[in-house]
Amino acid sequence: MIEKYKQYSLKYMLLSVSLIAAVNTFSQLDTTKKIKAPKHYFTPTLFSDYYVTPDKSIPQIRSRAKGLIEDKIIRNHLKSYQYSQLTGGFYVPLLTRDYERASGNTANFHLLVTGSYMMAMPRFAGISDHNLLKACAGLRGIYNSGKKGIWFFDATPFMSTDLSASCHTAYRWGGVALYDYMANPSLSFRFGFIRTFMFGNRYHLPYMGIRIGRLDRSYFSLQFPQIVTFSFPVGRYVRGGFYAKPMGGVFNMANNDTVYYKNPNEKTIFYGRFEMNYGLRIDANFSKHFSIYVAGGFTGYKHLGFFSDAENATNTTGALNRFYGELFTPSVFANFGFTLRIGRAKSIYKNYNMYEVFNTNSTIGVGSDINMGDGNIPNDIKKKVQANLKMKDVQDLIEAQDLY
Amino acid sequence: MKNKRYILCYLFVLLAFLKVFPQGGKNEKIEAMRVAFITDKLKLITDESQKFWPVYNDYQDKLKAARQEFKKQPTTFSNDKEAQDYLDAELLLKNREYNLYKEYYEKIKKTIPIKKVAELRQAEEDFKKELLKQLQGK
Repeated sequence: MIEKYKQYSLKYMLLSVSLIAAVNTFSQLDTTKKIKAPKHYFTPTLFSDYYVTPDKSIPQIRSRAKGLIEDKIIRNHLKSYQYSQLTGGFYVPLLTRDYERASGNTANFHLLVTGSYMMAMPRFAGISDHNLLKACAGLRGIYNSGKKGIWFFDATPFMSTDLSASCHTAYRWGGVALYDYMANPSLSFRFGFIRTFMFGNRYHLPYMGIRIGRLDRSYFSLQFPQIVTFSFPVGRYVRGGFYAKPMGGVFNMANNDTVYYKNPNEKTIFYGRFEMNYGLRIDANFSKHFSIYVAGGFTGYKHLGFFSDAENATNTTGALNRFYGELFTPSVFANFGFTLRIGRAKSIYKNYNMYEVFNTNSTIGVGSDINMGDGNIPNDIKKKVQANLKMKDVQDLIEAQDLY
Repeated sequence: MKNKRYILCYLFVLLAFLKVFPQGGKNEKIEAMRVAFITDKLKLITDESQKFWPVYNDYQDKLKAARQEFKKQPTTFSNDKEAQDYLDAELLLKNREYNLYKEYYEKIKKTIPIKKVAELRQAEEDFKKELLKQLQGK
């Protein structure tokens, strides 16, 4: 089943890229088509991400660590633990409205449809391979007042199932509501609420953030619970950043290996994981349309947990109750991905409110908490731009009389 | 082993995209040059900048779309009708440029002081001269 899924994923990905390329080519050939100025600030965006941590033998216990639920039978059954995940996702602007205020400010509203699929691949030496799918589709709305305030809402229902063996499919949802107050381009605050599974369980947490420094230059940003980062431009097209970020989720998993041995008849268990990553990330923004990033570092805190489906059946809002929890000593991790922005968008040069909108959108990753990066915010560097111009590049900017 | 295969496939896709999307297009560079040039000339304060750039960017987007549409016209003519179509399209472009100028002149006046609006016109002219200088320097 998993092979089939992989084949289909690849086929759909190639088909989508071919279609986009074909539409792009034909639209350029069509001389009768009226060219309109772009309608949206966001372009349809695709992203993909791969994340991996190495194999660790079990047990790797920290004594008296919080969340640890010792169970020697399960520990001996699992033997070792390694994790990797492959994520693909998108967001597409559905609606953009600009409002010109009498004060001269331009406010705008953006409605985006979002979606992602993630294949989580936990590997335990003592049991069969499980490939766990999490797929989501959601909506996000962003209102930029054009002055100091930005409102952000996101609701993402998702499904989770095990592709390797038969189990129940769970339907859950995550969401964010926050207010961003941008005192000036170098200082912003965010307050709100987040419903998240990224700590390997279901939590409802306050969202609090502060950013110091301009988004197009070096800045420090603390966004609890999403990320703490110090980001800096390296030339015009590259951005580096030291960061600390939680990575995790809760996935449905088949109990075909009787991991939950106390109730072997239970068909489904939940697998929860969470790592606190400390690393360096480099984003190379090759153009407005395409960025790649690589990141690496170490996981300072790595947690694995299993939950019973039946015992949590009536628990629909609070944190889920574990029957097994394990903590691991630090290990390394590697993460890389790309972001592809298709089509034209409205210009946003020096529009710091829109920079803030983009940053909010990328910080709250789509579905799987993948940070797509801020490739649509141009780095502001002092070095003079040399465009290596040819006459055809500037002919529509220069009138004949300018030559005299 | 499977992970290695994944990573290799992934890197292959990345390299393919790098080939398709080369680093920063000429238009992006010219836009970046223009923005840096105008920012330097106008010396906008934060509040002015917050109001001015969204309106000015919108103006440039519409201007660019009108010019790109005109650029689709064939520049060799096999008959009089094609030549006439070209001239009509050019007239339409000039008309659109003028209308946009008039519309956005009013909008920009609401965002920055009138003195800076006049300086903006001068900065745009100076930017053209800067482009010409760069061309001559080749």
